[in-house]
Amino acid sequence: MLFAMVIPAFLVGGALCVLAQLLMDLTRPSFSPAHVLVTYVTGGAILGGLGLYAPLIKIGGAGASIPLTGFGYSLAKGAIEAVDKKGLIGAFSGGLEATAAGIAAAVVFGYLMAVFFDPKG
Amino acid sequence: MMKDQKKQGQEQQPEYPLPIQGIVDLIGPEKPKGQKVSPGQPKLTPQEYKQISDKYLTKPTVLKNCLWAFGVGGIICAIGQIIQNTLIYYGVNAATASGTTTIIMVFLGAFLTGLGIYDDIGKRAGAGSIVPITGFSNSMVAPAMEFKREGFVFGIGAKLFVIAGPVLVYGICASVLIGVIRYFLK
Amino acid sequence: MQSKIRGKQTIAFESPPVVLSSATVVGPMEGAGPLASKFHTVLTDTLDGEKSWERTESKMLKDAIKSTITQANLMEADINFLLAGDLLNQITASNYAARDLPISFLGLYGACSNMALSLFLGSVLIDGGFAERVVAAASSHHDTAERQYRFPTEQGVQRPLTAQWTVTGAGATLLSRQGTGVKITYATPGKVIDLGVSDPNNMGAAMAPAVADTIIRHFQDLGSTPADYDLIISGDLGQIGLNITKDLVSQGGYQLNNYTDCGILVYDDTQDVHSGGSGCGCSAVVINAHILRELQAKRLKKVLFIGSGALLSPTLTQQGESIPSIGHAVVLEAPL
Repeated sequence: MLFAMVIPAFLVGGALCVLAQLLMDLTRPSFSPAHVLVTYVTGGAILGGLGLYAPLIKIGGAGASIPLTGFGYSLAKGAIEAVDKKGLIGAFSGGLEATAAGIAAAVVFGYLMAVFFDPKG
Repeated sequence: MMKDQKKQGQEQQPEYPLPIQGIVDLIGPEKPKGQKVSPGQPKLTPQEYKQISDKYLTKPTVLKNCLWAFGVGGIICAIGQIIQNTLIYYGVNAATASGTTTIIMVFLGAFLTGLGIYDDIGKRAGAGSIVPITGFSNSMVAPAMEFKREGFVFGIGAKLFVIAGPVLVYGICASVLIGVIRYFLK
Repeated sequence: MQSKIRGKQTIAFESPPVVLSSATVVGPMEGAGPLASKFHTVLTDTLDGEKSWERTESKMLKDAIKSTITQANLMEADINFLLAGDLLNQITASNYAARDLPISFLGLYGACSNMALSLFLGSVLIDGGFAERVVAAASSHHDTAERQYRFPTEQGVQRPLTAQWTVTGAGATLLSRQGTGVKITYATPGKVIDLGVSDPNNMGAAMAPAVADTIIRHFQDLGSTPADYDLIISGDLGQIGLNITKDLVSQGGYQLNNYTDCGILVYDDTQDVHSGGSGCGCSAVVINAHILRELQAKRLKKVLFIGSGALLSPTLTQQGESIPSIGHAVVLEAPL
């Protein structure tokens, strides 16, 4: 029970990382980490909007939700669900509402770590 | 021509070799007849130089990098899966479990960055440490830590979003666009 | 007065300035490299008790300058001018080091070619009779450079194999009109050359054409050949830049068989620096700690040192511009 879906998560997550690695290694001038992150979040959102990412979540579990494409998917899914419930305003509120916890956590933990730790070089 | 050397009543004997063009004319294939090379323009074009320099570039070890990316990225996702399973086991519903897992992974990424370990992982793992949400967290904490010495507002505060900013901008724009399209398709 | 210029851009010093002393301060990584025993001071960590890396770099530069003056049994008041530079915006490390030194200060920016630039201009001041004694210095620090030019140091980035590691080090040389010691006899300042390399992780390829141009020009202006020198050494081309430069110079008609690079000498293979060391500090510490010593001991008689600098700005790199580079050559000769 504890280890359910762990192998699929490993495989799907690993595959998404390999794709990014190829993007960074085979492009000249190469993709920087920031470019990869932006591409993945947008890609995940677009695939989510087209309904192509949900199957990947079913197959890969955390292997699809933890990579940044999963974050993009959550943004898109949130917008779609909010539009269905609230109409056009949902397009604006839905994405952030769905990912609010993750973003707030990133800001808070990020801030705390930056305050308490020094860079080592 | 020694134009500036012609002074009245002075014998000007060149003491040294006459000026010769250096790399500007010596290196590279002859330009086709009729094509003017302006002074100071290297005869070697950027394309020609790229062919020369590419011979000496060390190629990235793509296979090794991909294996590391696959392994580390896979492990990070597997850890996330186990965390998620544990939460569900203890009665958390599926959606909340997913969200909580995200928060825990974000924390782990931030913490490992603070400890100075995440960059060591990233050196080997490449995309394996960038793509998971822990990488997003690292990309926030690293610049914030780096610029801490510039203060709380312009240092930590502003630099938290150096990389996270574009991610949010493009992610949110994409989601709004998708929502709007969804609205009009219904 | 006889003209001191040879050919198009080489200067022959009529009364070559003399190196009275030199000093270097380096970080722990350099202190674990092949030249460890030659450095004057090795820091135990990259902060050395300061509040930020920028302040540490400034302190290292100041200490190197003070050390070289003390080593020659002189005082700061005996020095006419200080010429120094570094990699930081507004050459911060140098300005703040000079703040604590009561010497007339000439700040310079030549990127990683700074040591050669400082030595060249210092020599011009002395040979021209404008100064009795000058100190020429340069510094760089890995963490200050990374944070300004590339990524925050704790970010999980993978450096490509073509990348180089900025040296944490400061070097200073005391030049004098009188005395005995290593002499600076000729100098060939370089032209800015840009052959379209825009990858800041591939500095060797960016700088090679500029260095090759200066080398070829130097030989032509003086009518000399590589065999006239015991060693030809560039500042921080790294292994890749060195190979490209050899190729380019051979296309210009000269074979460089006695050619190496400071970036290759300062670290060894186990230190995982990929293509080699870089930064103003690279040539500053290798020349001051190692090459000058070899010349003083007459193990080397005549050395051609070409400082190599990549004159890029992060802003223009982001705008898609390529990296212009420059190479300044200086000839160092052993005392008779």
